Amino acid sequence: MKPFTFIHAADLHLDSPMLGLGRLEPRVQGRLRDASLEAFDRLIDLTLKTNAAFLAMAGDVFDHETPSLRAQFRLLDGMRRLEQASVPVFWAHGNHDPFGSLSTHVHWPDNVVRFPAGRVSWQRVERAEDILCAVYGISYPTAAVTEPYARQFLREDDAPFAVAVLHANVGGQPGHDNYAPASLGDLRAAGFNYWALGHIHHRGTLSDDPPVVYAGNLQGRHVRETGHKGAYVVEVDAAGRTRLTFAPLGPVRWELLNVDCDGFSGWDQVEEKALAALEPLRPAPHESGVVVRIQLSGRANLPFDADALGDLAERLSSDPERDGPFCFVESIENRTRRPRQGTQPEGLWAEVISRIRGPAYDNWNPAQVRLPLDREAARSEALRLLADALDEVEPDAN
Amino acid sequence: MRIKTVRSLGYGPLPDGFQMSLDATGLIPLVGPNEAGKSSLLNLLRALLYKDRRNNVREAEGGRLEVEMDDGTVIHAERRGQRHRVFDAQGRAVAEDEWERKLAADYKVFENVYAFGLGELERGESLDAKTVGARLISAGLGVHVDVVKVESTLQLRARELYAPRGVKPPLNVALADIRRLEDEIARGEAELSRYDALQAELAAVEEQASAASDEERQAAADRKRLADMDRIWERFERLRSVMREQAALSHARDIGPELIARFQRLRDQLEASRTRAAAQEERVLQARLALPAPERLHAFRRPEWVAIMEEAREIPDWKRDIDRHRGAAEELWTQMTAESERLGITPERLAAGMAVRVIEPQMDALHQARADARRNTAEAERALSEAEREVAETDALLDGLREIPRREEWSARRARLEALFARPRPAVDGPWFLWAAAVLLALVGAGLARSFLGAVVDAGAAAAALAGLVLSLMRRSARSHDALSAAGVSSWDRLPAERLYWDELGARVTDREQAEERLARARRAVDGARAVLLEARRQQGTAERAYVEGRAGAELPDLEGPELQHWLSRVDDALHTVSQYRRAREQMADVERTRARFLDRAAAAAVLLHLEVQDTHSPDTWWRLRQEWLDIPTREETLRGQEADAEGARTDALRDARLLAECLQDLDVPDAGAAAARVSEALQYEALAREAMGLQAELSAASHGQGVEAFLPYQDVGLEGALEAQRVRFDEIRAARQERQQQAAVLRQRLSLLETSGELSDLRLQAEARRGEARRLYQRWAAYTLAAQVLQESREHFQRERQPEVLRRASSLFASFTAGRYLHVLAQADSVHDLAVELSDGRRYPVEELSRGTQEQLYLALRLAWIEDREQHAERMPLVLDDILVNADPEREQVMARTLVRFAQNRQVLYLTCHPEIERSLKRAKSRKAVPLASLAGAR
Repeated sequence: MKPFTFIHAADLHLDSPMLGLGRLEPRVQGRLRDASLEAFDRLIDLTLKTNAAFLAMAGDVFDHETPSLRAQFRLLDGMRRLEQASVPVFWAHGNHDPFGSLSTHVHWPDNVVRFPAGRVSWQRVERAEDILCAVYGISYPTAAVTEPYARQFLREDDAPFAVAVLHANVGGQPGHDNYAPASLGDLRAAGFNYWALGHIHHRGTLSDDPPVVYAGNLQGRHVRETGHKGAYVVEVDAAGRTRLTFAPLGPVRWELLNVDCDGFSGWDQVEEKALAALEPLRPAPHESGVVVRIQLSGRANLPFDADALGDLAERLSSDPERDGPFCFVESIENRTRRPRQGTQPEGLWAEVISRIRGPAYDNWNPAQVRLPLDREAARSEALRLLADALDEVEPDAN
Repeated sequence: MRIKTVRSLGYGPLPDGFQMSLDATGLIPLVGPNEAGKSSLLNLLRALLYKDRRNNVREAEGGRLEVEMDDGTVIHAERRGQRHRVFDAQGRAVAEDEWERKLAADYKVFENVYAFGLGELERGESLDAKTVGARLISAGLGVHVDVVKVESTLQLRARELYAPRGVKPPLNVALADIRRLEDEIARGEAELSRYDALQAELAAVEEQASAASDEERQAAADRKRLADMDRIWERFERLRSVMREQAALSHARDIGPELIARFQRLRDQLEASRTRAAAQEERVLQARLALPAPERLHAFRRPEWVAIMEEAREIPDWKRDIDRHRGAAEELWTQMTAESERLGITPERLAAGMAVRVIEPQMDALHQARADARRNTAEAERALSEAEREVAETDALLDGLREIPRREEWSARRARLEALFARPRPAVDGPWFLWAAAVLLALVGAGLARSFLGAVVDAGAAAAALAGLVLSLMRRSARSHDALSAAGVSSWDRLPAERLYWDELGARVTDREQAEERLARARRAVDGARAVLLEARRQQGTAERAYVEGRAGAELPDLEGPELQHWLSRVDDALHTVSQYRRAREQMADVERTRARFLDRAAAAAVLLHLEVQDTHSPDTWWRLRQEWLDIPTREETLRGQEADAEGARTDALRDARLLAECLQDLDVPDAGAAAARVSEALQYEALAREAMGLQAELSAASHGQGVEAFLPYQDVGLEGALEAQRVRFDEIRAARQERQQQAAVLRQRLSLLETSGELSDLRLQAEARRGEARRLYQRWAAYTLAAQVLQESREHFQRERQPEVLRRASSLFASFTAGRYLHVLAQADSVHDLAVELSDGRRYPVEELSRGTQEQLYLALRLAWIEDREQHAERMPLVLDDILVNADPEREQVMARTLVRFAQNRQVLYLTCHPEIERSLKRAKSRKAVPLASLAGAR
């Protein structure tokens, strides 16, 4: 067979906003907003640069069922660039951009193959009259798909190599919606040479033979999606062996930074240590910026002062030149505890600790506000508040 | 803990070096007068035990303290100004927070519960019993802060973050922002769904804009065309004038150049023929004149030229008529011109303008009636012309047949000639005198024979017979001669030729009859046609007047009152002038016709007058005529030749006249003069046509190819209104086009914004950021709320569990202080701050209603009760009381003194007083020996 290269990308979430930002500064707002689109442009550049035979997008290309026209046209521009280079694009729709309810207003060029909803279809990829491979895929008709789509994949082609494109939760990974549930065994049994998966935003290889790969998303969207994000360049040699190279494409990187403040009693100490910790996280040459959330830990006699935390976040954020790389500290969480004392809690304080950790507040719902509440964090914060106010010391965690 | 020694390094009134050793438990009275340093000692103890900044110690002041803790360890505390140091017996420093933990009571608790004076109690009861109570109760809870205040603070912080019905708290603001942003996002998404509709709308608007642009271009072209048309409007006026002139000459329009050339050729040819015929006639005339008079008389039919002469006598009248008509016409023309110039417009245009405005609805009928009348007139004219042409043609035909005798004459002559021809030619023939001479000779011979031959022949009878014969012959000869004469035959020899001539003349007689009959018919037709024409012209005049009046009325609405009347009179003047002008033109035409007729007739009359003058019988004339007579044969020959030539010339002239008549028929004119006028009109018509063509070309160019028709709608109203209307229309179209283009621009901008705008993305990003911020605020609010709630619950629980013990102890102490008057100290179930006391008889009083001294005793009882309760598990702190018994009556004073001494059994109690009676009371209660402060501090 002819060796070839293809690009495996997933979860582009074009035009997705950054989620859970503690604050937003005008100087970085535009770049945060455009990060997913810029990552997509880099994906197209990568596809062209590697002379890829095709581009596989394993779902959630758009973040929203009604994507902005800006995002639609950005995608259209990229597809047209690939069309000019005769590079086909295989698009399996996922739960964020289901085939049936995705509302777009552009006409995709002929090189874009959108897999039909609820039914596996396939297409050959040829180059210079050589059949390189066959690409199979299936799209979500609606946002929530609970059918095991992977079991529909059966090879029907005579190509020397076959790629399956699927947006699914393989192995029931926690923390993710269990859409199109599949087991690794299902995938191995289908006889494909490469499984290009989407849905799980942390890239990873579930299996080496055949490669069952999550490409992860193209651009981190919140603090739980830290580190470099991008796509895989998959090189297939004449023997059908694959070699995966991760290409970081996301222009903005999320990082979660822990700063141990044990023994600190002033914000200056915190600032000094945080600055030192931030230094290694500065943007790489291919990145336009880093968004950092700092968590302060340890036992320190620091007041629980939200304004002070906000001020410190601003101080720690670099002040780059216009369009220069930035390091944006979006928030600082104070998880320190007051310094330990020798005495055991007694009297009212013991009563407070007992009550606040008791079962009465396991399902506490303080207000009819449509916002998620981290009850454990609220308990910890309340305990710290009370310790500050009553001049007591929080005990060690249970 | 108990104080072992306290030393002043210069603190207030306590001098440097003041030292007091107190190394004992129990109640120790510290006695001294005012300003002995009792309160300073109290403050010094506070400042030495606590670093608290509220201790106001000047830099030069300070002191030292040595205490022994309950566990037996000795601790030293030292203060210099704001510097505070704690160290153990080995001199090792003890951290402040560790020291405070050891003390187990913070500065505020110590100040309020352990080291207080009457001031604290008084301040507490006078300011806020709740506060005092809360502090006491808080102290009772095992914390050294105001728990209730903490609760309030936490609740306040929570409310500062979020209030369920609030607006300003940041979480409320954030939630409102989120709702707003979500609304804007929903609108943005709705706008996205309108994208296709917007594109369709844009296409429609662009199409409308394109159509409007086309319409605008067309309107601009129309406007330019109208402007161009307006620029050469006078050319259109000229064209109308030309067309009117052409219309006036419309009867000549069908005369083509060929017909004109033919007419001119035939006219010239006829003229030449006539000239030749006239010349030939002249020659015939001369030839005839050369003949004897009878011949001449014969040659010239006298009645004809007499009539001509009669006509010629009218020549002066004709000339006068000509002059009169011409003068009148010229005068009218001059008047009309002046009137038109004075009015500034041509009468026709004025009338036309009037027509359209006022009675436009009637104009069609009037126009139709006028057109019908004109058509009728033209038809009548054409019929008359045809009839007149028939008359002329017939007359011309008859001109050649005038010499042909009428049938009666021809029949008589033909009968006579026939009779002559049938009669045998007489034997003798000759003139009557020859016959008379022959008769005379016969009579003479008869006489002679009678004389000589009388015997034989009755000479007389013979003579008579002979005479009778001669007479008979003579009569026969005379009759024959008379018959010849009557037959117009000069001699018997000419009889055959004469007969032949008359035979041949018979056909011409028929021709003449037919011609005369035709002429009569033609003349009757002319009369009829004239009558019809007169009627048609009368009707046309009526229609014309109605039309003119109609048109005149059309301009009426523009004017009012006297101005209208004046204007109408001007119009009437103009129309009158027009009619006069037309009459003058008709008269001029009549004059022209008369002149032409005169010229023809005058020429003929001149010749005849000349002859008449010469037709006298003067001897010379006779002589000359005699000479000429001799030449008669020759002249006759010449005459015949000339007559033949004249006949040929007449024939030619007749032919040419017939041809010309045909040409005139083609020309549809009655005579040559009319033909000439017609041809002149035709040439004029042709010139006008050429001018019209040129004008039409100009107008067509100016109207951008639309031709004269483009001007016609404006011929009566002018172009100004149309130009203004077109300008308004153009402005409207342009405004519509601009509006469409602006709409398209707006739509394109909206589409472009939709395609490129990051607004929706920004909104989603902002909403997410705001949600993140709201979540944090919500988390903080929840923490504050939870903290306040938990604290409140804990406090209430703690109070429920612990407070009864404190109150029980306090009740016991208070009952002791009051010698059993008050049995219980009570707290409200839902509030620990509202204290009350219960009398032995069960009555209850709130604290506020107690006397000052009783309140002090109650608060002291509460303090002591709390201390007892607290110190079950905590360090026993020394109690420092600053003369707190001064408001008690002696009985209670003694009871309280005993209570205090008992309370001081296991701890150190320092009682500062300046009252000897209290010192004695304490002494009686078995206190330790009083320490005189004044001796320690030294006198000031």
